[in-house]
This record gives sequence, structure tokens and C-alpha cells, in this order.
Amino acid sequence: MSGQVYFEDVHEGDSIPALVKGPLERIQLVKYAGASGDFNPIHVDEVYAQAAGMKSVFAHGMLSMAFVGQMLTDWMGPLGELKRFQVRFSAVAWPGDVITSTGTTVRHWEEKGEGLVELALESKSQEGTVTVKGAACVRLPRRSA
Amino acid sequence: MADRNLIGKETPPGRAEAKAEEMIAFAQAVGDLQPEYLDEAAAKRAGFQGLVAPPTFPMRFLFDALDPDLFFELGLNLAGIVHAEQEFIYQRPIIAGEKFVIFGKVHDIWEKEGKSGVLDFVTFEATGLEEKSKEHVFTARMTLISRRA
Repeated sequence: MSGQVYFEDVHEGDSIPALVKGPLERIQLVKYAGASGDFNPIHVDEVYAQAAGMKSVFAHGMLSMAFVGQMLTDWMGPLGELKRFQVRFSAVAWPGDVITSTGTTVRHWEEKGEGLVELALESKSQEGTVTVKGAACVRLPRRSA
Repeated sequence: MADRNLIGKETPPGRAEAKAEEMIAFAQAVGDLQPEYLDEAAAKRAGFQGLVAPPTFPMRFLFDALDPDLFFELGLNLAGIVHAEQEFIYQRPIIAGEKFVIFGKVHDIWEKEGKSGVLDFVTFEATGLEEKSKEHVFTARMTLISRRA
């Protein structure tokens, strides 16, 4: 992680550093099931997943969201504060996929003396399939403060 | 179909605790190894009261707090449920050792004609209040889609 990012350093249209995760392993889905408490067998039981018509188990949507969250918090640093974080799941991520998350600043404004930034978020697999689309609002520290 | 009269229906309040070992296991499962998530001393050096939870960690509470009876009352086709959207609104990060009261309710219900039939959409909302101070710490909204059988 590099140094703290400040409100004054950010401009509309800027990209934040992308985060590449994977290739996804089945063992990570099992670990995530245990850690999140989401034991839906479609994510961990190959026999169950195939009987449900899927080609294999696939990642929890919330794991894909967690990757985007990791990108956001890596970027905003310990003095940044995540205010709102929203995603829509558009495709599933499969074992073996490499997921790249990206973010772009779409709005940069002051409100009651706070420096706020809105980002558009997206994750894609190595094949270019969009797995997640979303938005976040982050408060960044100010150099003047 | 899901009954729109259930919009606003509340679940009995649940309780949840941000346990350090569960927060660490969650960060490790994601592979998000920020020192503030794994090492209490590092979190304190960064200005936090204790170990910090990753932003999607409150999900762990929702599975404990969601009332299965309400879920069944909605009459969704359980075999055809997909997690469509997720939103978190934060007042501040969750710190290890904090206890929360979780208030859950049905936030919205609607339907949409899809290519393969009618889809039911349900958004659940869970609000987390710190037990002692009653401080509102987070709100989570989970939207599920259910394809009618």
C-alpha cells in the first residue's frame, strides 16, 4: 500500500489502482463459506451445483463484493472512510477465474466541510465478463485539515 | 408471488458480536490482509480502538439475524433464488468486541417480467446499533431475485 490519499489529490475521471484477485480456488470458496456463515451448497458442493444445472460450484457474490471492498480500502487508506458501498451482481465468478476490479471517480465534492468522492466500480473476469457493477461514496481526509 | 403487504414487516431483533477471531478469519478468507484487520496493535497505531472489520463483514451478522419464518412467509421459490444486489451504508467501521442489536425488515418487494418468466424481487434491510450506546453503525440491504417455479 502506498501513502495516504487526500481529497485534494483526486479529480473526477481519475482511476484508482485496480486489484487483481485469483485464479479463484475452490478452497477459497470453502473458507469464505465458513468465514461468512453462508453455507449455500451451490458454492461448495460440486454434486449439488451440477444437479442445479451449473457447470461447477461458483463464488459467493459477496466474495466478489469483498474483492471490490479490498480495492477501495487499499486506495482510501486508514484515514479514508467508506460511507456507502453498493453492487449489483451481473455474472458469477468460477473457480479458475482471475477477477480484476476497477474504480473511477465520477464525482468529487465538499459537503459540510467534508471531502467526498463517488466512485463507479466494476469487476471483470479474464474473459471480459462483467461480474460486478457498483458504486461507492468515500470521505477522504483533507490536507488543509 | 411475494405479498407486497409484507413490505415494512420487521423481524424480531437479533444480536451479534464482532468477534476478533471471526473478523480475522473473514479477512483471511477474502485474502484482504490489511494490518488493521489482522493485528490489533497495527489497528491502534492507525487510530482505531481495536481490530477493524472489512467492509463486507456485516454480512456475517445478516445470516444470523434473518428470520427464517419471515423468509418462508414471503413464499419465494427457494430453489430459484439469486443474490442480485447488496448495499452497505456505514456510519463508521466495526471494531472487534462490539456487540450489536440487529433490526431486520422487508424493505421492498416488486416483480419484473423476465425472458424466462416472472421474477420476484425482495430487498431485506438490516440495521446494526451498538448495544450499549444505541449508536447506529451500519445499514445493509440485500436484494434477492426469485424465479417463479
